[in-house]
Amino acid sequence: MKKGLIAVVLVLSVFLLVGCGEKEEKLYLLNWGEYMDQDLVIAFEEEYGVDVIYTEVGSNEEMEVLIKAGTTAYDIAFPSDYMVDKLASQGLLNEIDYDRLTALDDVAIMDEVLNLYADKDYAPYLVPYFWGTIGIMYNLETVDEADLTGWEVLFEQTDTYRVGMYDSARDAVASALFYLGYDVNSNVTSELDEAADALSNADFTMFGEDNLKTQVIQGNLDMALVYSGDYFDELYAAEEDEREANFGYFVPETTNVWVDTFVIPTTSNQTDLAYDFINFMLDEDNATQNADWVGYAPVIEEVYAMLTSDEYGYDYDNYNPYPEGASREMYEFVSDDRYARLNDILNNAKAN
Amino acid sequence: MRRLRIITLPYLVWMVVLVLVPTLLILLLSVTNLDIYNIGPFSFVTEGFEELTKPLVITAMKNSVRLSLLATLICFLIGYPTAYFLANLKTSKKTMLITLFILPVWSNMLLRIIAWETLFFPNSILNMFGISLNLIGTDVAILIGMTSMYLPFMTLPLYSVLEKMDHSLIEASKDLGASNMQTFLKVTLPLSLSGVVSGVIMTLLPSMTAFALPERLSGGKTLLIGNIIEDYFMKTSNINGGAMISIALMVVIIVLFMVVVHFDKEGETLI
Repeated sequence: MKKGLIAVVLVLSVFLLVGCGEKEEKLYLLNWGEYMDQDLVIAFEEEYGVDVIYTEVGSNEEMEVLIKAGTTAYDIAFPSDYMVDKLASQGLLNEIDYDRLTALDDVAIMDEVLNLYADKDYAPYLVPYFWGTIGIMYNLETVDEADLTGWEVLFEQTDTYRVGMYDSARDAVASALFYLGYDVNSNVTSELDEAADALSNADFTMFGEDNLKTQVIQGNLDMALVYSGDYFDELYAAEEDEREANFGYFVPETTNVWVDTFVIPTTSNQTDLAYDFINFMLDEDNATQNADWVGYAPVIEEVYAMLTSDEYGYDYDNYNPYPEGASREMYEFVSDDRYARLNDILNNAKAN
Repeated sequence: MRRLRIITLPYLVWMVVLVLVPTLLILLLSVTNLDIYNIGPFSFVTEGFEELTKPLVITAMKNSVRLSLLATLICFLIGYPTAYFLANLKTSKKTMLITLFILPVWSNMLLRIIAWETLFFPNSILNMFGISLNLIGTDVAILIGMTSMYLPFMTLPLYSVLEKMDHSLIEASKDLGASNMQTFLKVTLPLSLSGVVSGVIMTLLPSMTAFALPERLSGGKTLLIGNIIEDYFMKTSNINGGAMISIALMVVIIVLFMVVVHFDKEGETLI
């Protein structure tokens, strides 16, 4: 008995010593919640013998605050298009060396995605990750689909329907600007004032974030502004539980299209490892698995084709963020003052 | 006594590093144009004070003061009789009852807030019992939430004071011909004031600075000052403006405390 114990202790101490010997390298990621299949992260850790430290945030602005603060040396972050612009213009991002993205020898980024930002100044700083739209999720039982004619349904029918608005200044004001027919990046005072009035005059039942989708399904809201992924998340969950979805997703003719991206902040100490990670996630099999898990539309041609094939069956309405002939507008980073104005507009609408 | 001072050292270090230094930093940020992410030369400015005149900030401050005072009052009205009852209980079940009272505090506060949120919508699990609430977006929802979160913090200090109270004083009062009501108002209540003061402080402070609770229970429609400060720091990155509002909030809280402590003639608060 005693001998056995000694043997166990010996074996354990050998393990411990081995553990001391190889000091694991660390890769710091800054991502949105539920935005990456954690099995792939574990697989990467095992393949490369590194430790991935994964931090989650809820908004692009939080991401900016954390990168700027510099208290953690993030190696890869996943901001959206306009935030890449803002981060790059402040010199917080490294240019991406596309020669080192060897995974792109085997797969190709969709032209529709590349064209979105090809002529932008920030194009050299990003690798696309997922893309999507904003739209209106509605309850099939309580909403007359004939009413879904455009953005006006969110603003003109708050007496008939219980409407939820996204508690995110940029998206809430964007929906008002689309409704009024103005450019989504408008910085014209009179146009923003009109958008502010539209948001304040509408009687929204609640302002929320990812709780909006739940309330639409439970019938506490009739419709709400959501991201495409909010809807698809719930659609897949319903399919998995084999229950009939009681909700739909309506994308008005003109809407926002966004691209979330891989970027390498200048704080990164592990640039080589960061490229390894991006290559790993761009690998066709891994990217397919990830897109299947995350539910947003993938940016890689081969993966998109695979997921919309019969094998995966993702060929849903509105799965493609930018179908041919549709009208899509991207957010741009205009100025800090404009963003502060958008927040004032939303807060005033909330306080009304 | 002097030799014992050394054992307060960890507390002292803790307070200086995590409370005093950040507070001074916030004070500095509120009246200067110092860029916290890029520390360099700075000068004193008065722009920060303009933040305090914004209608939105004033509305939120009023909401915070009103709702937190109401929640504290409700907690006191529920908490005092409960503490009185528990303190005078003479059964072996006393410890268990008090444990039951503290039990909710052991679960995560955010989870309890979300639990209330789901119950306050018209379609909820309560429909099974024929009940359909529609409280999201009302002050009632926020007050129920605050009361349920902070009630134990009101009851416990009251209980500990009432329990230790010298019962012979109450007997003497009755012996000298005072009615039950007179005894309570002239003996019990004044003797328990220190517990009232700590209870009020422990309830007022968190409800004054709450931001997750109003956000969820008001459907995002009632802005409290905590929500505004969160926006300044986390959304618009207006650190200096947010610091100014934080300082203003501290001033409001300190004034309220001074009013509360004024009533505590014994000066025997728990904090």
